[in-house]
Amino acid sequence: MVRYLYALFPGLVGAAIIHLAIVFLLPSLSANSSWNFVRSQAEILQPLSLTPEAVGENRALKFDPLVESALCRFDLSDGAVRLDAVGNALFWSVAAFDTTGTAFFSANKRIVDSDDFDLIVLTPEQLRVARQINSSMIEDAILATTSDVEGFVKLRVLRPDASWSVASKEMLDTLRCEQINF
Amino acid sequence: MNRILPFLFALAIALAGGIYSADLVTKEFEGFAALRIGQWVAYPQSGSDNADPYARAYYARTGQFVLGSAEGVAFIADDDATGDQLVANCDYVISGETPAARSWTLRITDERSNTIRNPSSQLAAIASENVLRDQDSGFSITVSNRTKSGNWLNPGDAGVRRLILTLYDTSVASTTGISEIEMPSIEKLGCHDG
Repeated sequence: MVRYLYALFPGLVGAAIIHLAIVFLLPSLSANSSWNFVRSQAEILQPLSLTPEAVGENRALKFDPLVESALCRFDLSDGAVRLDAVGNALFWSVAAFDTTGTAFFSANKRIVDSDDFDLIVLTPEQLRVARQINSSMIEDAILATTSDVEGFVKLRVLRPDASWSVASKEMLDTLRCEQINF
Repeated sequence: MNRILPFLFALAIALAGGIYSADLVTKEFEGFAALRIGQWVAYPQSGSDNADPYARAYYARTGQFVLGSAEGVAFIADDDATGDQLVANCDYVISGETPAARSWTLRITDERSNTIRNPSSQLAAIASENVLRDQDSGFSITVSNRTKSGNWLNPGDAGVRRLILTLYDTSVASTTGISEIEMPSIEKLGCHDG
């Protein structure tokens, strides 16, 4: 009996360790994570509009129904990526995510002071190269640097009601993602 | 055998306890960085590098796309001002002010944050652009499954409800004094069967 009581303490310590291990591993291992969804549903550099058809009813019901969005998956190992969209949306915002689903960059229409959106995602090394050759591309666009080569960018456009549907759809339809080399 | 059994006992506690507690917590607990104002609670750090491990684990399980800090902050309310859970067969008025933001949306969901779908075009969501204002630029929005005039949202037939107020382009998370942040109040007007 006493042996079992002595076993309780290491058992609880072990439980704490396993608990923490699971908590820390979930972002990389969860099948339901946003990155896992992107990796399985989106082709690299192919814009994906997040309609109920594309994401499934379960995910769609959790979205803000007055916001439309699209995303683009990227892989920087072959070069930097440029994303742009044009439109007359009331409000748009953009965020770039790494493979743990954390946003390493975000911006919106007011911060950028532009109806259109022009973003370059690149690694620090690629930025160095671009600066060395004085690339004009990095002057016009907003820059998001990351050391993680894989990730995705999500564009959100506010659509307060049906009268804004055309504007929001147009902006999402113009979303382009392409690889660039400086 | 006598030596092995206590060891197996400890191992069983470790595995069962660790897995069960991790599962339970990461299903419900959205992390430590809650920002609570009145009935509303938000997790402004959810998208950022500052998110704690429990927040990250929670989002990995729910699979939601978090809001970047320059995008916005989502506030959730499950109770009215008296602490009673929000339900579809009670009427409420949401009134007052919101923190400064470029725009905001208010939607009614079930307790799992799924937006309520009503028949015809009775939306369960409204954007700040479409909210009729009072003379002092405050607002009130009625939540009821009976038709109302003015700003009105239909919560559907029956069940537990939740309100999600999403502020877009806001600095609410970096406001230093919590007492300066004003969120709308949620007052219950009355209830009816169905």
